[in-house]
Amino acid sequence: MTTILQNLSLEAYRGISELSLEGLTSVNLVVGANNSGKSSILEAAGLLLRPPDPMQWISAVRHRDFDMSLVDGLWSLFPRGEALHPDDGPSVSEQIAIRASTTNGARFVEARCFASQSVGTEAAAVSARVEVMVDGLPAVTMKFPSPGAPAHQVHVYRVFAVTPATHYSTKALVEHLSRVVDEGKKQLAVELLQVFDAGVEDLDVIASLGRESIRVTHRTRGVVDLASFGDGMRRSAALALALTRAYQGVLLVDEIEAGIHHSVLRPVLAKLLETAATSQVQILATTHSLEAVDAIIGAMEDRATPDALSAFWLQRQDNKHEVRRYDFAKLCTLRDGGLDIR
Amino acid sequence: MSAFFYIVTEGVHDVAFVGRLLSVAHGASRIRKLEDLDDSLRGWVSSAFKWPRFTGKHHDIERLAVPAPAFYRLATSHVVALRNAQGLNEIGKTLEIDIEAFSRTQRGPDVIGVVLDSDDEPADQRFGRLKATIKGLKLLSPSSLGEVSAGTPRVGVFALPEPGTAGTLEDVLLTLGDAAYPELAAAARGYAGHWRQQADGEPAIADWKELRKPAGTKKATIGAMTAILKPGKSTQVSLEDNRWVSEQTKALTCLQPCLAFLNALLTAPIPAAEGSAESSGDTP
Repeated sequence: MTTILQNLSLEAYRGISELSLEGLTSVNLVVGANNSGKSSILEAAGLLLRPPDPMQWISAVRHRDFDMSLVDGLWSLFPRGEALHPDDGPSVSEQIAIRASTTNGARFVEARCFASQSVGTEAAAVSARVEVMVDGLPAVTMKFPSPGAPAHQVHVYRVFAVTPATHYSTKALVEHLSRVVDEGKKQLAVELLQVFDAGVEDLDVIASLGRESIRVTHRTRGVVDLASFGDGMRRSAALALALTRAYQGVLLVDEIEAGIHHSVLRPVLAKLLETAATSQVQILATTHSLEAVDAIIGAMEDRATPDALSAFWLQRQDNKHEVRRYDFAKLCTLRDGGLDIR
Repeated sequence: MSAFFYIVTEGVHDVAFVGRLLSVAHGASRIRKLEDLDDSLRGWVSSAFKWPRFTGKHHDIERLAVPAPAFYRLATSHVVALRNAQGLNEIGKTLEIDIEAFSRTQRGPDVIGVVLDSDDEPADQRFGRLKATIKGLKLLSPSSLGEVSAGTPRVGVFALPEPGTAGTLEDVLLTLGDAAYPELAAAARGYAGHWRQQADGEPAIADWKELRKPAGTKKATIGAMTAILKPGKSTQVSLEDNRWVSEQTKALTCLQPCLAFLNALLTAPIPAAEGSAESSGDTP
């Protein structure tokens, strides 16, 4: 069982204070109504595992909104983040505080954002400085929108995230697939595409004339672009590629059911979970789908690894969070009785 | 705010029977529209009665859906939910699921009732197991059958036909049938009795297995009566629509233990809501 993250506590992050997930296992499902904090948990997990990595901070922003100003997006990660007003002068955010128990011991991440109007530029622009402190060590400073290389003075884990929009970005898929091809590990992606279409034979990255794309070799259609297939196949490719890259790390999946028809959820998720187990990847996923919950329960049951599954139900009320954890047995009892656990 | 009473029973017949007792003795009327329930109960119904999971190994077609509770509004305006656990052995699990569902809503039941019977196992043994389940759910169990505990929520457990007496709902129904429909009851007893004797000599044993069970003849007698009273319809419909439990029969001795239990359950002081200084004192 791979459980890099054992407990995760968002003491202060976005609009959340004191939200704790205790007893994380290798596969963790987070359910709850809209605005209950599910996506924030995934972001916070990513930041906790790679605190001094500017790309992790950028990912947290971009996974919410691809076009938003990076500085405004960063600012919104911080607690009580009222909209930024750089015209009023420099602003200092409230402090992010995220705590966790990991395989390497306890970790406590604190961060603060300093935003201001950039000077010396022709057009007015806004920049931000994020200061991150891990376990009380000297703070690392990252400057945005043009951060330098990450300063890895603390251990960082392999973390990859898949959102409902990841599969709409050819650039992201190409980057993932290029790495996976380099490592000779594209088989999972091919196998997952075969769940949807048995004619799929291979997958590759093509770069020519300044164009990059993912090409699928198909038994009857020949070599075609992945974009010519439906959402389910693109999403599954995104999941497979991110999972492959997260080897011995953590995969964060927002809305694990996104783009995938319920009739194929079971085989797709079963394959992902099987690979996650062999690749020693811990999964933290959110879902709005009862079919996805049932598919994951079934897949874990088939694999005879029920202890690896935990589900967390979140409810936000009056700015406080209630979290209820269900182990496999409880989850089965509730679902066998028809309770909608979302 | 109306109090909410939750009563879980073994099956549809118990639900229909207790529903009639509520109507006759407590002026209850059936709530049939979701809109007539308050928000928290609507939330419960909406979340707790989805399709059970499909395991991929077995999936009972009959259990593709979970039956929703029967809701009644008492003359006091308080609401009672009668939950069919779909089997005596499922009562503990049903309680576990519903308590979890309630804990996720803003409001759970003020009082919980459980109605058992003692068909093929002494009620005290069943109660012993149920007490462990109740304790596991962090509820205060009553110390004995027929009592209502003082916890929050209050919990009462009853065993048909009455605590300390072996039997089932059918024992009560037979007495009610004798009073409400004496000729029909006599004929049905003779008919079922005849076939019970015949069953011992029948070669196709499987066909007669149910009739040969301890409560088989009683159940067959009730079934024969309801087949006449409500041809082509279920026993549940007859219990709901006919005069098994009525103004005329409600004084019969056989109903008094169950009526006393329901009275204790429905008039138990309502525990103060969390955060409130004191109980509303608003009892049914």
